[in-house]
Parts: sequence; C-alpha cells; structure tokens
Amino acid sequence: VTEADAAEFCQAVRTRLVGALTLACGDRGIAEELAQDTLVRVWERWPQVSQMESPEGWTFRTGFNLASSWRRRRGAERRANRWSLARGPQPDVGFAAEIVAVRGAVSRLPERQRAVIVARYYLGYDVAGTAVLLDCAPGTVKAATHQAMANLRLAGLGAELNMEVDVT
Amino acid sequence: MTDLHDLLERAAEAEPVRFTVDDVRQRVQRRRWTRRAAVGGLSVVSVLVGAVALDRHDADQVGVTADVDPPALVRRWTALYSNWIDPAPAGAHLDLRDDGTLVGSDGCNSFDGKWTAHGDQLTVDDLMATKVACPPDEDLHLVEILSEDPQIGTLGGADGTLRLQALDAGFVAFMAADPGPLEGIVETRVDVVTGPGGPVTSVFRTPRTITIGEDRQLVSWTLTNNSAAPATIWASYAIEGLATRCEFDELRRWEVMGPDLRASGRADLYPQYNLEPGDQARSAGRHHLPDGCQGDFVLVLLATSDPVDGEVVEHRVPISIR
Repeated sequence: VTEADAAEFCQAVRTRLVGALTLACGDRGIAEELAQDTLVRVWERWPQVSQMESPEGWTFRTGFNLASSWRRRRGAERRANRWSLARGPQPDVGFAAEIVAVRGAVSRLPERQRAVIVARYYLGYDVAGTAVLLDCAPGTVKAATHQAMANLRLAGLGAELNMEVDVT
Repeated sequence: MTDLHDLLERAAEAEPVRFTVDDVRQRVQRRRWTRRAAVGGLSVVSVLVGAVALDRHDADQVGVTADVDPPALVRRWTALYSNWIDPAPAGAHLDLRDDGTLVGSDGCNSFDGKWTAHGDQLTVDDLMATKVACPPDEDLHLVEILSEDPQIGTLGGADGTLRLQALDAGFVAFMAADPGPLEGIVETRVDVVTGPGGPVTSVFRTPRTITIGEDRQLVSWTLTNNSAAPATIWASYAIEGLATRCEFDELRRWEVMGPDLRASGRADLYPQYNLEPGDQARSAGRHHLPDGCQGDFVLVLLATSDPVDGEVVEHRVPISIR
C-alpha cells in the first residue's frame, strides 16, 4: 500500500466523483472543492480504505456526506470562489439549457432522493449496491427512487426523461 | 440503464475537471504540515502572533533603518497605525514642508510647528495644537510623540513607509501619500525569510491605479525558495481603507485571521505555498470594486514559520482608485 496506489485510485475516481457531486450540489465549483476534500480523506486513510470491500463506494459515500454537510455550512463555497478567482473565470462551455435544468432539478431534490438518483442513474449502482452505499434498506432506495422520479417530473424534466425507469 | 443515465452523465461531465491528483497531494501535505505545527511545542499560532506583536507593538523595532534623507521626508504622510490604534483615524496625517514648517492632524486635533532632521532624529519646535477632548479610539497622540522629538526610520526598505518612535509616547507609522506617477505597475521584492543558504523571496506587482467597476488584476506575486530548506509561506492581501461593504476579504489582517485560521483549520482558505528548495510559485488575484469604494494602499502579507522561526512581513503599496 503506497501513496502511488492512492494517487492512482484518486485519478481513476476523480471524474466520476466530481460528476456525482456536481449533480448532488448543482454547482461545479463547489463539487470540485468537495471532491478534493473527499480525496484528501481517501488519501490520508488509504491503508484502511484500500482494504475495504469497495473503496470506491466509501469514497462516494464520503463525498455525499460532505455534500450534505456543505448544505449546512457553506464554507466550501467561499473556498470555491477564491479558487475560481485564482484560476480566472471559468470557461464558457456554452451550457445547454438541458444541463442547467438537470443540475438544478437534481440538486433541489431532498437529500436521500438526490443521493439515490445520483448513485443509481449516474454512478450505476443497483438497488442493493445503492443501499450499501447509502447505508439504508433496499426498500428505502426503491421508495426514494420513486419519489425522486415524481419530483423530477414536477420539476419539468418529464419531457426530457424516459420515464420507463425501473424503480423496483 | 435508461435515458436518465445519459442525461445525468451529460449534466455531470459537461466540463473537464480542473484539479489534478497533484492538487490533492498538495492538500494532503498542507494538512500534514498544519497538524505538525499545531501539535508542536511552539505552534504556528504563537509564532505568527508573536511576530505580529513584535512588528506592531515592540518599541525596539526590527527593520527600522536610520539616517533618513531629510529631503525624502518632505511630503504628506498619511497615518496608518500606532501601537495603540490600528488603523489610524481617518484623516490623520503629517505634512513636513520644505520650508521647515509642519502641519498635521492626529484625526482629532490639528497642530503646526517647525521641524529639522538629523540622522534618525526628528526635532520639533514651536509645536502648537488644538486641545479637543478626543474619544480614545480616535486619538493618535501624535502631538505627544512629536513633542518628544521622536526617532525616525523607514520600514521594509525604500517603500515609502515612515515610523516616528518616541521613547515614552509609543510610535506611529505612516505611509507616503504621494503615490508617484499613476501609470504602470509597482514591482516590489521582499525577502520573506532567510533560511540556510539563502532567502525565500517574494516579488509582487500591483497597479498604481485601478478603476472602479473594472474587473482587473490587483496583485500578482512570485515566491521563490532560494534556501536549502523547505519553506511554507502564507500569502494574503487587501486594500486598506475600504468601507466594510467594499471589502473582498472580511479577514483583512493577520492579527484577526491568524487565530481563526489556525484554530479552525481554515488555513487552506488562504493561498499557502509549500516550497521545496528551488521551487517557485506564482499566483494572482483579480477583483472588482463597486461604486463608492475607495482605498489607499494595497497591503500584502506574507507569513512563514519555516525554515527559521516564524516571521510576518507586511508591505504597503499606494494605490489610486478612480
């Protein structure tokens, strides 16, 4: 178990972690801050994390926890602002309305529903894996999925979504 | 997997990730360093606070150079702080005129008199002052200092900072109000700390003029570790004299943000550089000042506890805000 292993793991999980946290908090800058905080924790605990059954699951769970904490304390937002200032304006990637709408809709979901949607339909975990990841019962995952889909429809994403989603 | 997966993936990965694994590695190293400092017998807290206390409040000033050239004194000096008031009251100043007269204000009372300078000694005669009873937080006691024929010195080299030091009455620091030509960039070189084999040097650049409403670079700096030992430097900056609503950083002084930084582990809120021997780091800050925001100086703060005992270097550069 070496730091090189930790670096390799962080490199492998980085993009998906930032993506998941972008959906979870709706803000790319914040997501990158939280992702770095998450990966620092992974790095520091790598001897233990590397022995876990799913180091990746532990990482995403830590990231979700940090995102939840962020909603209670917005300190990372200020850091992100400084980060953005130091690195200049973010590139204009010509956001499609769809991207803005999806990020907004997902980030406005209640915490459990948001985590379930991101875990299942972005990270690709099944119901059982999502339950382990979020430390809840499979039934809770199914219920939260159903409620989240209903809320996404209410948020106006119904037309964009293929609603034939397996919520069982 | 459904269309929902594709939709989420597009929304999540629309931009490239802007940090690298090296950024993570540096954060890990910073946290390790911070923890080491926190558990050390002489923590960063005491080092920095001690350094600030020495710089601001110790009568035996480190870095004061004597033998100020009298012609260089002839100008308007704007009071910055004293050993009991920081910052100085608005409007506190001292005009040393080339005809040998002086006029000024300590923010509450005004005064006039005559002055001469020899070496590090300022001699003041015929000092006359109004005698308004001043609120304690508005009285710079400049008249008392001048009446004691204070010692004079500059701080931080030829940066236009003047200090008047009276044995019994304390000291007042000033900044030259004349910012010089208003075009171009001021480049300043400061040795932040000297380690084995050489100094850690900062070269920072500030514009002489910034325009309200314009988003522009306020300060940029390069830190170079010329020593043979690793060095950790914190850097921050502010515009002094801004109204509260204009401040872009509510923690404007190391005296304030130092304890906050260390007690709450917020050091990574501020640019911190871990420099191995020979390393160089660059950074810059852009800011936008809204209407009605005026300030006098760009204050650059550099602090370290490595590779020698902690030290805080602060440097002020006059700036014109239009």
